Amino acid sequence: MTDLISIAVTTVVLGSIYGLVAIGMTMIYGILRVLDMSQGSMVMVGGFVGWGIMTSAGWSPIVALVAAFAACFALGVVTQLVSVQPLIGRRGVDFEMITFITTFAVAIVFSNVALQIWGAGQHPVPNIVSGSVELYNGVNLTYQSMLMAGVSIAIMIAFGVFLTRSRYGIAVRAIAQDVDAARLMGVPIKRVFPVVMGFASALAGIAGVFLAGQYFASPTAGDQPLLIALIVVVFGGLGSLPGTIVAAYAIGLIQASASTLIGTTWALPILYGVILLVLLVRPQGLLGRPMEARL
Amino acid sequence: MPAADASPVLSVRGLSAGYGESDIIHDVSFDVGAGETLVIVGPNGHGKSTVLRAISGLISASTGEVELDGRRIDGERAEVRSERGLIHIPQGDHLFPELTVEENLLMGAFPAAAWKRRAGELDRVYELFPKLRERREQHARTLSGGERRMVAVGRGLMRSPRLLVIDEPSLGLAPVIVEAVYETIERIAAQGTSILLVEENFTHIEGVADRVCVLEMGRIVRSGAAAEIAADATVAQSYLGVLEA
Repeated sequence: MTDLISIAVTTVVLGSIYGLVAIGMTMIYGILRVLDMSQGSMVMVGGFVGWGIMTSAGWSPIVALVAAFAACFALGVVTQLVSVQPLIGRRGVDFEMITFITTFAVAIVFSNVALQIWGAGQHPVPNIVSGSVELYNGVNLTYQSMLMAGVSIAIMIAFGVFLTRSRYGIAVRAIAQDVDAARLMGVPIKRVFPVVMGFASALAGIAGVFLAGQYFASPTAGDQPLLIALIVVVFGGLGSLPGTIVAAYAIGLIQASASTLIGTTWALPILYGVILLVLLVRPQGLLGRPMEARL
Repeated sequence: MPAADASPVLSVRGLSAGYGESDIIHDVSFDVGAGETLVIVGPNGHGKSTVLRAISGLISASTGEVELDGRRIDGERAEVRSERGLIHIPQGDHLFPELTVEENLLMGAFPAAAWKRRAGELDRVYELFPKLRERREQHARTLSGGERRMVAVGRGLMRSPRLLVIDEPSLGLAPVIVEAVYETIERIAAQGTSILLVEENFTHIEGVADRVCVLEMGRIVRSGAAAEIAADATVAQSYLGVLEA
């Protein structure tokens, strides 16, 4: 019983933060057909914003979250305008491959700028809330984890409502399916693209503030989250939002079960073994649909 | 031919257009009156779709003028023409496969002004196509060919068009379904919407066409009242087929 509750709690916490990191990546791929390698940098930048505002300035965590959102939104828009927009619609270009590299180039620039400014060290960032609660017989849940999961879930729900209920939300999904038809409907796609990447980056920035509280702010703090986001996105099915959320919690569940029942050292080998098997059987991912290249 | 004396909704003068260096259509001129349905008939590959694409701005014309409600639109981008009420329903429907029927229809009302009126327009479309109301929550990719065409037409109606431009509504549909699609076009026309559509032959259009233009080799070779053109012996031979002979 203790094991089950412990697994459930860890699954929800891990899955929520994986979902928050990966959801922007899925959205960018679904709409722009870009596997955005700069998403890890946004997590890193979010961490430094959190450090600067909470540790250095001593301001409230709310300010840190808002500032991380704004800063990463702006950086995402700039990244899109610099490394993706100029390549859209160019003839004879493998758009997906080239943007994979151009966004990666931007990510390298970001982490080296961070290295120049703040150095290679790890900067501690306080938890947004401290303390923990004992849920059941030795199973502890920190308030930070609880908040992290709560905020992630709230953002994912709000995002779902936006995509299914609002004018621009439906339009964003329409663009992902047929750019030309969306254009005929009057959707201003050249303006929507940068906003999409800005918004996705802002979500990664918020995840960055939370993760820096768990770990540290550092120039390489985005590397691990980027890898996880890539895996979640491919595992769920490239471009499928529901698939991404299912995959995030599935990966959380596998990792939590393996480390609780078998041992922490076995968590990653088992996780990647399962992912390998699933992708061999369903190369399009859990909820993905085979699709053609588009832009 | 209602309202032939009133000023036309669409007026096309000396339109030439094509792809790359060479024009496909030459010196095409015609009017569509208010509430009128004009059908352009002609063999495939002779430029019918090109006429529609030049009018809606998907390609730019090399010469000629296009006026909508007395206002030049030939210099404007396709999005602007569509906002002025010139709605082009292209071949192949171009629905959003993973959106529901209702979401597809709502995308037709994307411009801010139309978005405000979306509830009323949805009702109007569902009245016209009761089948779509039943299927409103279904993804467009699960629909039959006829239902897709209905969504495409309904999506065009969502922004109260001044002129509905339809490219071969019968294309790829079973005869029974074509009947149903044309019955709806008749009802849309009866509500006063002006319609410009193209078809390969006369088979389906006799109930809806007020006037007909015949387009061959990129030029309009005949035009007149639908009955008059249908009665013409040479036209009858080419476009009516054995059924009507």
